[in-house]
Amino acid sequence: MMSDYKYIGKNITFSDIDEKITGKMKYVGDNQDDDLLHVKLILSEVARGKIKKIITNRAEEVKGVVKIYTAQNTPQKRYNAFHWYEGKKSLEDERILSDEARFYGDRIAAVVAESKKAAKKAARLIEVEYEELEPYLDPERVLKEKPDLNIYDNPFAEFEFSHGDPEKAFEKNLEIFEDKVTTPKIHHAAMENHSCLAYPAEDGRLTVLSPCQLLFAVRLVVAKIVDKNLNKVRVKKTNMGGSFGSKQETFLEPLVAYIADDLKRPVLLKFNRQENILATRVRSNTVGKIKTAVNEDGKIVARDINMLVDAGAYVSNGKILIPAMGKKISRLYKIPHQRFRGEAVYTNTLIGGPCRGFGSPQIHTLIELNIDRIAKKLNKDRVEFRMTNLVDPYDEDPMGGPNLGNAQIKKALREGAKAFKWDEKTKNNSTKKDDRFKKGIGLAAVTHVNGYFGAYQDFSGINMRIYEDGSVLIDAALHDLGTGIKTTMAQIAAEVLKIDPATITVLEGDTDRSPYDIGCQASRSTFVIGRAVKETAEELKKKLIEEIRKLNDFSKDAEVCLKNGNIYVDEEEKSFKDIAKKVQIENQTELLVNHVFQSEGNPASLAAHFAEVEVDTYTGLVEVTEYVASHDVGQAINPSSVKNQIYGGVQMGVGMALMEEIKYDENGIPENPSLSDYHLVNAPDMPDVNVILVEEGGDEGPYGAKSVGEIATVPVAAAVVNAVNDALGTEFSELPLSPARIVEGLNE
Amino acid sequence: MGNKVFQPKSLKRALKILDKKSDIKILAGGTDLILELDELKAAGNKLMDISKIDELRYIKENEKEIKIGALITFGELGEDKLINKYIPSLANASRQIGSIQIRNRATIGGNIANASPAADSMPVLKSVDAQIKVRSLNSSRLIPAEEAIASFYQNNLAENEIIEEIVISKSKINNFLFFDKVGSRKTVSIARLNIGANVKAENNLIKKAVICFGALSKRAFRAKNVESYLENKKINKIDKKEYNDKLKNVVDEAIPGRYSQQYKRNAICGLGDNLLKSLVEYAGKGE
Amino acid sequence: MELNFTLNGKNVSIDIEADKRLLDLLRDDFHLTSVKEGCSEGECGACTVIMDGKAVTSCLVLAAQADGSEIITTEGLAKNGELDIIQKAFKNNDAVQCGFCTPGMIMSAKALLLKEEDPTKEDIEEAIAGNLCRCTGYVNIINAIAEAADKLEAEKDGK
Repeated sequence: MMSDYKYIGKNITFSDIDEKITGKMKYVGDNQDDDLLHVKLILSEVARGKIKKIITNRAEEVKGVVKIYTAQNTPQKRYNAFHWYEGKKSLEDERILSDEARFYGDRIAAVVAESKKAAKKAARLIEVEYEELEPYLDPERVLKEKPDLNIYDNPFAEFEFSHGDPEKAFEKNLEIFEDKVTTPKIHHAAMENHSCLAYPAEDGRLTVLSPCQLLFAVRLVVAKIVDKNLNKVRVKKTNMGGSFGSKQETFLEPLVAYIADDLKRPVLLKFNRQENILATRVRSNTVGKIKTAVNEDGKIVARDINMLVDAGAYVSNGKILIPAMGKKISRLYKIPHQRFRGEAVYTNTLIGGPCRGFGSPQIHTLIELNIDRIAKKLNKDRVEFRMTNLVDPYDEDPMGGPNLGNAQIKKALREGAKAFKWDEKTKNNSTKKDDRFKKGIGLAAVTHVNGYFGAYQDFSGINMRIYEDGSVLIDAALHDLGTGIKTTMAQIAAEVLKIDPATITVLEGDTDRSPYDIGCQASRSTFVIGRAVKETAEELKKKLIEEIRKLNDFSKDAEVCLKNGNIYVDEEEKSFKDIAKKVQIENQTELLVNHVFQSEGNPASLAAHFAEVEVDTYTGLVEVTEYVASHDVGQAINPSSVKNQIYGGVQMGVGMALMEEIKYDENGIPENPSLSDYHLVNAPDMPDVNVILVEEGGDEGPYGAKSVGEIATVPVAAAVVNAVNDALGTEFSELPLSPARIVEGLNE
Repeated sequence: MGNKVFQPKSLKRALKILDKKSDIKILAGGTDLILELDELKAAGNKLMDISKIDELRYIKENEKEIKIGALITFGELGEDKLINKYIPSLANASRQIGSIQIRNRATIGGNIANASPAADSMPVLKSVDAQIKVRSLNSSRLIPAEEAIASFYQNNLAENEIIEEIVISKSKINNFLFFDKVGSRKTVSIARLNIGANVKAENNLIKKAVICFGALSKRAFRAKNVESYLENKKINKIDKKEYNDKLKNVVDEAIPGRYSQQYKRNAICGLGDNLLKSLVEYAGKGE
Repeated sequence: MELNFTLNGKNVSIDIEADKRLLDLLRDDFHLTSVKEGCSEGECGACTVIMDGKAVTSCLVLAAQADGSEIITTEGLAKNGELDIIQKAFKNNDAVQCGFCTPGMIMSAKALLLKEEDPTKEDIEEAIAGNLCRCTGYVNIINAIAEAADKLEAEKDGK
């Protein structure tokens, strides 16, 4: 890729790294104002039950307790926490405090007190009497029996779409391969537990401070619950200690805002880890079924896929998850006939919500396990078999989605295979070390999106200005999740304005001042917002030139060129400061532009990951001994940051493959809501990751950039599971492949 | 609890307090107890922090014994010269408990008193017949370490008793010591199974074997069937299948019908295999 | 009860409630909010501080136990406005994304380098095995600690 850029493709250090390494970075939970009230939630201790009584008198007597809330004294308006734009038709079944227990962890009551200690003490003294009902924990059972678990029917969503003629295609005499794959409930495990703060401001306004991903969505849902106009609610995005989708929905802010408005005081809610695991969101567990028909040339002719989504106790994003998964199946392999059907059901379990990849890891684990197995059964090399079927650049999406753009998956696959020494490893077939330790290799190819174009409105407004001393400020509804968007946006603007990105101030979102943006979701930040920033910078440059040509010192045809942090007018070097102050005085205007960019396309981001594993068949422990991640990213704006995202995505995916799952007992009580029992990949477990970046540009993103943050984790679980199955000669398809599962599976 | 935490600076003072007061929970490293702080507060317990009793911090030897003060941390045990020399399996076990942060606080006395069935120190201590000295104001008794355990997470120490030290007789230590554990991940994991072995190996022959397993029962126990199978066998002539069968038997007898039985009866073969490989390596060094 | 100890190089004396954890003491009474609460059970390492030269998870230490000890948090690393070598290495190696695990990681790294001059990669992994990160995959963190170790050694040799 061309590298005649000064700032694009460079490893610019994150603008806020100093605060982070000195410990000065403040997250909303670090607020320590004396007048803060503290909220402690009482969560349901049964998986399903009617609430008979909530006894609060002992709690009320605790010194420092201000008020106790239940469903009886809070608004009973229903909302959907995933609701993110006015006019969206969402299934609304959640309340700020529930009137009945629909899962272990449901919000039943809230204690508000002058201190954390008092709130905690009082919370312990609250007694809830339940009339317990039989909980439904198995989505397949729910699909059959259709129990009434919430206000919508079970299943509450069904989708079907297809292209070609799959019925007919399956009638032909082809080899058919069927698989069933289940993926578990995953805890996002952002290191910062959920927190938010709300306080009343002047003029009947309310301010909410939240580490959120969708500022304007938070405002929308909060305003509905507290019954205020949007211009009376202000939301500021605070520094965020990770999210991965767990902070994308608005489920805690409405309650906290309501309390602040009710008590007319600032209120802080800060979850501990257990509450975070139970009472926020999880990656939805799925049951996937796939039927694939292959012809004698090794080409996939038809596929029939079914995905069952366990949404947990409330709809949340459960409905949207289905088409999000379904729409992927026609954007990776060239398959002439496909049908996709999906359902979403309620169960009495933890609520599913957006989680890195938004269904992509689940659907691709189904697809890629199936592909690997097919290749093996047909005695074909697993890389070559995929190569025979993968999409090409600028392919159309037979399902009607946007054009795939410069889809370089074949290149990513080739280069990844080469770096991984796939051919050598396959030839050596050194899978058997001895009876006990077995080595294997696996891979997965995946596709993901770049924004919402083709599905929803996708636009971004940016304000950019040059102050009278020449300094530059960008104000947009940005949400940095730790992903460094403030820095990458500065790099993009810097490339246009030819100034040092470190001198640009980039502000994150505040609904009072930021132009509207639909938020950090659907992998759109670099592709859409980045493009918006680029165009805005270009508009600002245009305006700058326009204004210069009006100044007394220069002619209306003056040549203006930006270079090295300065402005050259008719080849005379001027500083930004010189010009900006003159514009203010002479032209009586400000160098400020607002620009709205509407996304024009949605190319595929693609990736291929390779894993080598060694399995201890006695203990079931799996070590990932080698890993290659090859990504078609178009253009890495900040390669170091791109790599960091990929490393983090691999950490998450290895966990999904081998150790992460929320387990339940037969009463629907989660057995491992703590990090001592819910294991994440730690440093000793983390494999070395070799990252390959394929940068062929060609699409509409800024400087050709495409998304990477979500897709980074999409292929990992499949690659690792495929490697384990290769090592053991097994067909494990129930994730995670925990040591016990592996051992029990080997001894069946 | 409020404003009161007892912080005796001497063992005598601590024992006096325990003698007079009741409902006192003893706090050493805190890695187990602090997890229950809220419950203890609610139940009206008071804490006695014994971490300032410096006289309980020592590792020393005399002609016959090695003595470890109850407040010695696993971090210290892992690095101590004496322990690495005489009881390397204890040093090894210490280095595999939790993370560095946990090891810097968790004490051996606390590990025993906490009575977790999966405690990593226990199969090692049992394998060398370690004794613990339990003190009260007016008494002192020496008991085998595992006898302090009454049931899962329940010790049978009296309310007024504290573990003072762990005593290991040099005469009980054979020339080959071994520890290993299997967790649900490679590091920083509570053991699903652990092993402490104390073997006399001479001229490629296993003369005597003391093999103890933990995380299978409330107390670490000796697997006598495995011991008698190994005794008097040549190290390089052990039949793997027979050996594995003996190991599987240990699990089958300990936890018949439990859902973890299938997993553990295989995982134990991993521990047994590691033990054997270590023995073979040891024998190969021409001991 | 009265607590006397050294905090980031300064002698401090404070009256506390006996049942407070060190984590709460540092955050609430001394406003050292770099010490984060991530899990409350010593698993995530976000609350790691150095106590008498050793890395500990402050969520499992009773504040009373800090009496007479020496505690260092991230706020106490920079000397005379200059960042610690480890902090600089974290910056040079892009070892930070969201920053929440960062203070704990840096303290574990500091504790390692206080006693280990030439740590291997395994030593570094072990030192941070009790510090969870969900953003970075640990890769650049390990690189940063290795670089800091090299620089410290070079500094020593230079002397």
